[in-house]
Amino acid sequence: MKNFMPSTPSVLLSGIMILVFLVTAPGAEPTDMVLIPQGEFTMGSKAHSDENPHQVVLDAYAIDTYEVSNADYGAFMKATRHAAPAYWDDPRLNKPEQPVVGVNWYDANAYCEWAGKRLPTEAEWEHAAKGPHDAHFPWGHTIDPTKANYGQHVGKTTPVDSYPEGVSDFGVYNMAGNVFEWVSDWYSPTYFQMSPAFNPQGPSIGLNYAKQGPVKVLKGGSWLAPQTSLHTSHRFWNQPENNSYGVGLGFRCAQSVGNVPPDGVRDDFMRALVSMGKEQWTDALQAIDKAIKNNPDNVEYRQTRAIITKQIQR
Amino acid sequence: MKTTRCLLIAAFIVLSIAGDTGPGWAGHAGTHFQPRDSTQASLYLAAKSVDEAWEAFHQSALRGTLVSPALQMKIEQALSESRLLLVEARAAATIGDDRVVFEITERIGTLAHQIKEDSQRQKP
Repeated sequence: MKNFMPSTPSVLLSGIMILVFLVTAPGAEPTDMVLIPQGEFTMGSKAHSDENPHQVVLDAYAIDTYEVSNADYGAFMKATRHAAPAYWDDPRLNKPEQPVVGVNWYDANAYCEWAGKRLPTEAEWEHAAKGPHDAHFPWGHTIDPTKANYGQHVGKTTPVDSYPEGVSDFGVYNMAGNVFEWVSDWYSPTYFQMSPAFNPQGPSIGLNYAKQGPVKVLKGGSWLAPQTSLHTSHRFWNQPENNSYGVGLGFRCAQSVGNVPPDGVRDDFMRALVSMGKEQWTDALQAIDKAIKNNPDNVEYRQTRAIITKQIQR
Repeated sequence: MKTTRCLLIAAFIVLSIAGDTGPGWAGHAGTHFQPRDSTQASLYLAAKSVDEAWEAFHQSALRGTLVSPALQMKIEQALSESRLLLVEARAAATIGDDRVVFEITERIGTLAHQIKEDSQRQKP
């Protein structure tokens, strides 16, 4: 179960499983996303008591390659007349390519809905950060200050496509540092001890600490956070309506990809992805055509074919 | 303005020399009455300690290093309480009730010290 695609040579997995595809959101430009295949991973770590390690199985899903930028959020504000977040006028933080900050959970949720997406669950976020090898940091198991923006080394947020050396093995950027990211789950320090194994969604109700309201989970550390807040399993929290600590608080979106057949049935599709990774476009086209023949209504296959065709026409 | 600032600095030095009886806090508690200037110094130090406590908490919140939401709420309540106490202490000072000022500012000092400690605790 650990090897989610046992028939595919493992050496090719990390780079090739990553399918960046275009999702056209209503009112928005096409957005880069990464497809994360169905699979199992170890959620949590031994770093802190609220990160009890446990096995989780997730259906396939897509997640934004980058954090939502100020440019993205600006388009949302323009289209919906949504209020500007905190720090919108702060010249250190408001360049178009920097991640949006100062957003509360409701802002983040509204943006994702507008974009035809949703906030990722904590499990989805963590799996996308850990990659297929359950890395402690997105790039591997040891801290590396050259691969993430953290600890006030830079003194502000960096562009959402910064630190390409620090991407997760799934190809997702800035999963450590830059900005903490909202996810959909309520936070409970004991949830990892009782979490369901399949597609966990977080506690159904947030705990009301000291009667000041329940809190949502934040992941990923920020440009202000020390190394101890940076690992892929780290969990922090904030009240969903609160953006008062938001100078390093942003988000990215995710999307369900519908009914994805289990491994084996998807061999042709996976073969197409492998060929795409090797830039063997003709082989990729043959493989994806076979996949479509077996499953003509699969939108994901058709989107993939469109990408391959575009590459061949170049 | 300049005279007031000089008086405050002088009172601060006197209190600092007087030694600590509280957590990071000049000795002003107990039954001994202090001169009027030291009342102003106590207020100044209390306000400063609340600012420092807020800064310690704020930094930990920004860095994601707080121990738990429950402790965070406790800290936020203590911060709120210390700010309210500061208002009370200032009100007492305006009517010349130095004894109340000293009592309240000592409580503020204890609260601020606890906030700083709680903010810097490590997540288990």
